[in-house]
Amino acid sequence: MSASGYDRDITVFSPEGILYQVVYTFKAVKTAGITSFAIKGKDCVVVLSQKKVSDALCDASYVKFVHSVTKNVYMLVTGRQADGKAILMSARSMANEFQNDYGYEIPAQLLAQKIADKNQAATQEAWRRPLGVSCVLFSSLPPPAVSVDEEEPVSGIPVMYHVDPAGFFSSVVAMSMGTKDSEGCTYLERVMRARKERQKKEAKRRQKEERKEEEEEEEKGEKRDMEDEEEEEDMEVQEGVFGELTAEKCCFILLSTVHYVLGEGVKASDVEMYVCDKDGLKRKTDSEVDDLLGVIAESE
Amino acid sequence: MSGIGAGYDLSVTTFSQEGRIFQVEYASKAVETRGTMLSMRLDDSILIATEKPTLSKMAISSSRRRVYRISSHIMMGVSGILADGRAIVEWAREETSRFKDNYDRDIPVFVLAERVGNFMHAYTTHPSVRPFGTTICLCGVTKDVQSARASRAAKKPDNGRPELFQITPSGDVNRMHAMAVGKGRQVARVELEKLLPPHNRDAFTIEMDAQRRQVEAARDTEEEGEEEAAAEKHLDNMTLDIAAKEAVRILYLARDASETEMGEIEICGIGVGMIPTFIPAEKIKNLLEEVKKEEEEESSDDDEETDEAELGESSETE
Repeated sequence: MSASGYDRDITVFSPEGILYQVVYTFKAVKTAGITSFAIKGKDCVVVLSQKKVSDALCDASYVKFVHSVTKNVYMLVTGRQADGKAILMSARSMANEFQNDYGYEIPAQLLAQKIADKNQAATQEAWRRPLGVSCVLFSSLPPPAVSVDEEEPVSGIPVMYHVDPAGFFSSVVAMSMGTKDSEGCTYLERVMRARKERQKKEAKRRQKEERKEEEEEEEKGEKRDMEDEEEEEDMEVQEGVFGELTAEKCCFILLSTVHYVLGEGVKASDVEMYVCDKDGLKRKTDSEVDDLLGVIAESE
Repeated sequence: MSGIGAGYDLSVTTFSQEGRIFQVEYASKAVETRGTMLSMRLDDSILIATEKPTLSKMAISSSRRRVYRISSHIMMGVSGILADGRAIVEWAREETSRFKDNYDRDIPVFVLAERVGNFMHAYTTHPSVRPFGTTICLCGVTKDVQSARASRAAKKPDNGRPELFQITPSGDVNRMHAMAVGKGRQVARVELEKLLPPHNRDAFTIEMDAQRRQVEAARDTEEEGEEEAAAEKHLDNMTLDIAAKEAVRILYLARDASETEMGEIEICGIGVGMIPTFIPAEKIKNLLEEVKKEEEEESSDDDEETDEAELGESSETE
């Protein structure tokens, strides 16, 4: 896989059909030295970003990786700092335009799509370069248009979309971005699989108990169709995988991921963690994060 | 003279194999090789000091400015390629004026800083232009809801909160306690880090700030007379005048040793209720003389101590 000569321009394919500048843009996301994680729970989204301020003269309180795009849609940005601000500004501008044109707040999915389209255009047009940032758009309150007929807005439906520098976007249940993104994603997938296994066992156990109760009621054991049973189990598991995570469990999972990926020396001042639920975005205080990290360290 | 970026460093829109943009890094180098600029954010005021290397004996160096007034509450120091700095100053002035027209209030410093950052960043994304070869030091005093709240908590009148922003050629915007760029930045940074206050200076912990003041006030009344005469100088207990002298001292320590004479020093400060004000050249000259004398005295004291140590005499001092 020789890149020679075909990797200097954005609009040039290599003979193998690879756009090397886009590959390098993905590498640029890692140059910031920051890793971030995000997870979607039952009624909330929890995001966590590593925070590294190596300059003693720098005011660390100003450094932020989670920003609000609209009142309800937030964005976690990882990668080159100035590119991150630029993508945030363009997202805000797109959201404002939508609000002005259509009279209601832009849904997170549509905003993710617009940002992704812009990212893709930057990989195809030579007059500008792609931005070296990866972002996760999340929201825990669907825009009012969805619930215009109801008296109370439908609350607590979390959505999370990941947009990468190449313009690919998708809805995700959990995501890791930045320098150690592959380790983070591997760990989160492991957690997901473990939860799936646990819930399969739970579902089986519950079914057995229910069957026992019914048998006792009817005093006669009926032979059920085994295939139907398994289908029912699978359906339960699918909904339950991440759907039953509360905010506390999400925080715990994310901090375990941090502990695993970033090492045991991580303190609350090295990360910033936010919980987005129906009440909006709230930052976890340093003491709360420290407590959780302590619990995780002890449970090892 | 090919460096590690060879081949990937000819265009600002080319990422290297590790994902770096070398043209932006080279633009930062343009800043590193030129005159020193430092800035300090004090408790209620803010200061920029620069050393302007002498280009020509025939030039009137006071006409070659490096610190500019952007508005009555904001000033901007430029480093590196001064012509690029001027372009940004012009744009920032227009932006401040536009904001005032649109919103009928003074632009908060952090809003202007983010916009300048966005402006500078735009020039790093197109192959048809080049990045600005300057690091901007944007200082100003913002009066807004937060400063009103903080002043109420501290039981002081609302003089606004001073903010200091550093904007690099890549468009990164960082809020700083103090900053130093240019040839003498290594020495200057070491000196400035010594001046960092011991307590947490987080601007958002307003309640902590108010508590700290109460604790300090209580301590002062208790330990009056027991305190050392020369308390430790740091950013939060220096006045603008003391800070100006500190800035001259740091510039003197950070000067280019190969030059026989320092370049002209330009200092501009925003104090309580002041517009950005330049310190007159005469006063700076006097400060520099004082600083030079003090540094000579200190170094001769050190020499005396080392002489005594060499002679084997015990150098027991109080």
